[in-house]
Amino acid sequence: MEAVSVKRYRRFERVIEFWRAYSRTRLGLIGLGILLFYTLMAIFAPWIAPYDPKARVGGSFEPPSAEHPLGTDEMGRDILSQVIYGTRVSLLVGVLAALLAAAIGSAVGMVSGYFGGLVDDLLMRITDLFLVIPGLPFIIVLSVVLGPSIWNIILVIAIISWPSVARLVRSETLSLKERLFVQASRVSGATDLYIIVHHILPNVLPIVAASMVLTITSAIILEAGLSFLGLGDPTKISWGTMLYFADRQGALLSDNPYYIIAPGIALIGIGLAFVFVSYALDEVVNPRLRERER
Amino acid sequence: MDKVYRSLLAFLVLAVMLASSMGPITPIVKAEKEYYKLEFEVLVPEYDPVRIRAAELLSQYAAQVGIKIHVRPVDLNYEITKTQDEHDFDMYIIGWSSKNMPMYISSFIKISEDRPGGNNIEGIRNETLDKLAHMLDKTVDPEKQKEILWKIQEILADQVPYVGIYTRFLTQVWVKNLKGLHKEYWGYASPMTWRTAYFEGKKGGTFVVILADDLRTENVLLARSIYEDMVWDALYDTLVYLDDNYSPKPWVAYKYEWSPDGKVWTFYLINNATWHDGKPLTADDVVFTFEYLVKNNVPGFRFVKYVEKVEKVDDYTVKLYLKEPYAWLLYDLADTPILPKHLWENVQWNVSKAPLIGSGPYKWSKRVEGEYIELVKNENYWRRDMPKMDKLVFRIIKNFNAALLAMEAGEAHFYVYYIPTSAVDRVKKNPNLHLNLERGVTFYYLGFNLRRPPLDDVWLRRAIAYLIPKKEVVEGPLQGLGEPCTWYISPYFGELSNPEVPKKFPWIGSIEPNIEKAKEMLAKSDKYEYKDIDGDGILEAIPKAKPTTTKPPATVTVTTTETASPSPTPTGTAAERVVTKTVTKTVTASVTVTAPAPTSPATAPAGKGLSTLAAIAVIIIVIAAILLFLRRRAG
Repeated sequence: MEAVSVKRYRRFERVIEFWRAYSRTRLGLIGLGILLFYTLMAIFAPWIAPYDPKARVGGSFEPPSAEHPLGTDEMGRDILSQVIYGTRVSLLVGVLAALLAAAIGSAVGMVSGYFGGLVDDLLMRITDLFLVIPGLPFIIVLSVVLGPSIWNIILVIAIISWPSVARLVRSETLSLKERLFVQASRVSGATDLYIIVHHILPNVLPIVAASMVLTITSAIILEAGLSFLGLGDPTKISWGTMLYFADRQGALLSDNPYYIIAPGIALIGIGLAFVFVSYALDEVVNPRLRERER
Repeated sequence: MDKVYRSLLAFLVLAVMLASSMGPITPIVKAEKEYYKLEFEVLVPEYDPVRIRAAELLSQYAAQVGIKIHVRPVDLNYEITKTQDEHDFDMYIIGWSSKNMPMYISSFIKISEDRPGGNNIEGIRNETLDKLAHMLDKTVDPEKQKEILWKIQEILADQVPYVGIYTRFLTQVWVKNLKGLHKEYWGYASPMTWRTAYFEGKKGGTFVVILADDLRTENVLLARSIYEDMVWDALYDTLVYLDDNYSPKPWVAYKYEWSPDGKVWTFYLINNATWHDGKPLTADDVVFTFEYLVKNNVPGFRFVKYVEKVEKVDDYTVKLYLKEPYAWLLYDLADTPILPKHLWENVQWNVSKAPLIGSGPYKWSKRVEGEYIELVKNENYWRRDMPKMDKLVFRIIKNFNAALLAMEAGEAHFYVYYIPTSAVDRVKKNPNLHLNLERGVTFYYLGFNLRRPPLDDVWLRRAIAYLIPKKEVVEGPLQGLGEPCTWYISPYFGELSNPEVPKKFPWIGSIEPNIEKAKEMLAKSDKYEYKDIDGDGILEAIPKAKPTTTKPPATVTVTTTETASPSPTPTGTAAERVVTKTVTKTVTASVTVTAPAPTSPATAPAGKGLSTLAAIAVIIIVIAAILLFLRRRAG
């Protein structure tokens, strides 16, 4: 009983300390704020958005007005509502793809680093194989073959993002498994699985988390890029699809340039937020950087 | 030992992970089923937002009936391969003008064309239609042609193998002082335009035309895209040309006549035409051209399979003997360049760099791949008054917006492709640019794969036809620059278009989605019973236990006795494989384009958007406050 509560207290303590370190970084705070904002927008989209994003609520290419702060697109749909709903797809794709990549990557990295030898060799060669595949062309080909759907895009992004995570985790595991506490655990008869789950995993998690943040950014940008090229699912409203239609319909030459500007700014905002957060995390996780800050 | 064990385990884990990620790639093998789910995929070319929007809207309305339609934007070449070559598709949307033109429609409905690469993409296997198509090719009498065409249209409307969605106006832009343009297939970028266009108040000059795509090869016989045709039209002459009303007129052949049975054609050539290298153009060249096309069975020239022999009468007279009468010969000849015998004799027809000597108004000068093609005036052109310009430059600009900006900057004089609909207002405001809005015969349609159940059920196809929001597409993405399509042959062809079709076949005539009617159609089916078995909101088609005899197609009695017996002509030659060039044509009548009336939001209170902005601002402030508070607490 007591042990449990002590453990829990320690954990709480660590969270507080983490937050203390994190909140000292101004960029991290700004990034987190923007992220919270986007998350709220995604969750409460139906309540926040003024109109149904798929309904015809005005004329085509209406300039900004009180009814439509960002104007309307060629279908007479409200652009502000579309941008708000688009947050959902972007966040979903980014987070799920990064989670999937992190899961595959850390599994492969830990197994490879921990067991070493033949397993390591083979797994790392497979990882190398995926690492040398040129990302964008591969993604374009795969998404053409698999067809346009959000789930396929998530899968495809995860497939090309996991190798870097695996590399990172493997090198960390290599150093971890030589540490005393792991040795001690092994001597006391812990199984490999127990050691991986209870000792290696918690210790690589911070690194995985830090790299995940950047994966999320690239996943969001990739999703938008694929949709912009017309490889996304056109029936789902996302910023990429908006940009696609805006460009093909010549929105920049029309009365309503916000059709192309709004989703662009939304994308920049979310990308920037994740980059800020990842800077901050880097500082918190890497003590040397923290020292320098002071 | 233990190590091996572990590595095996690791591999197992990896294999499972890979297998799970590969899951969607391996196709699910469909066994013979007792029912079919109404779940389809519609292929759309990814470069055209209008067609993608059309598919998206169709998918929305179909969902209300319980038909799931996945929109799949793909590369155009991929779509053509999937549909025309592999027949591996459920539905597709594409624009193919020939499909609604009387002179080409027959090749889309013949049973013999239902083969990989053939024009009968849908897999229409209707004996009556097939007979009519063959009959049509041989019928020269306009009255008989009309009678056959009307029947063809009725059967198509009854059976719905494909259904038109919209037709798009030609929106071409040129500078105000450019005059003397002529219409043909593709608006004003016609062969005659290159010969007669001039700048008002100026002699000669350089005429810069913007093309949306480069030449694929430097061989006129390999031209497939409309842009390639435009370049070659300036370099080569033809025996006849199609005038503003789309009817054949003499050109290099100043006179032509045919025998009463339509099998022997005589062409009289002008005697002062020369090739760009100075040699005279004579009957030898024309005979050579025909024989060369026939010998090599060059794809894209439909008439070659009807040619029996070609005969030179004298230096400027040629006789062409056909195996059987062929109604569209002159149309095909208007598309057939005359080739110089002395240069082509020893050249393979399909080389990518062929001799670039023609007899047209402009001579080949130079080409920078992907950038421009420059032609210079042929001083010795047989028409002394043509061409009017000193130079003709085709600049290649793929992006619409960039092309339009080049026009505005005065760097180019003529943009041959459609400008994006949103830019129409901007062009209208520009005092130096002329925007030409005209009705065209473009045909954008939805095709079904009749080979694939349950799309073999005519009632399902009618139901889907009822769901196409034709009007909404025209008003939305097309910005009113088009018309909903309710025909199989464009009304542009006047008499030849059957006016009864939209009235007699309401699913073709309906321009707004009609959920009720669609459900009614499904209920009428005698082939399948449509109901939702598994309760997922998507209907299933259960074949009716007793295979009822399918209704015979609309009975057709064609009283043409004098035309040759409708025995199916031997087809399947390579020449037929290749698609007739997509062509478009315009109408003289100017079209007044009314912007779609904005449907004012009935319920939206004024300033709804503003309140949203305010709400967003409040959220931002609250978040900032919370974060600052937490920071202070932590610090």
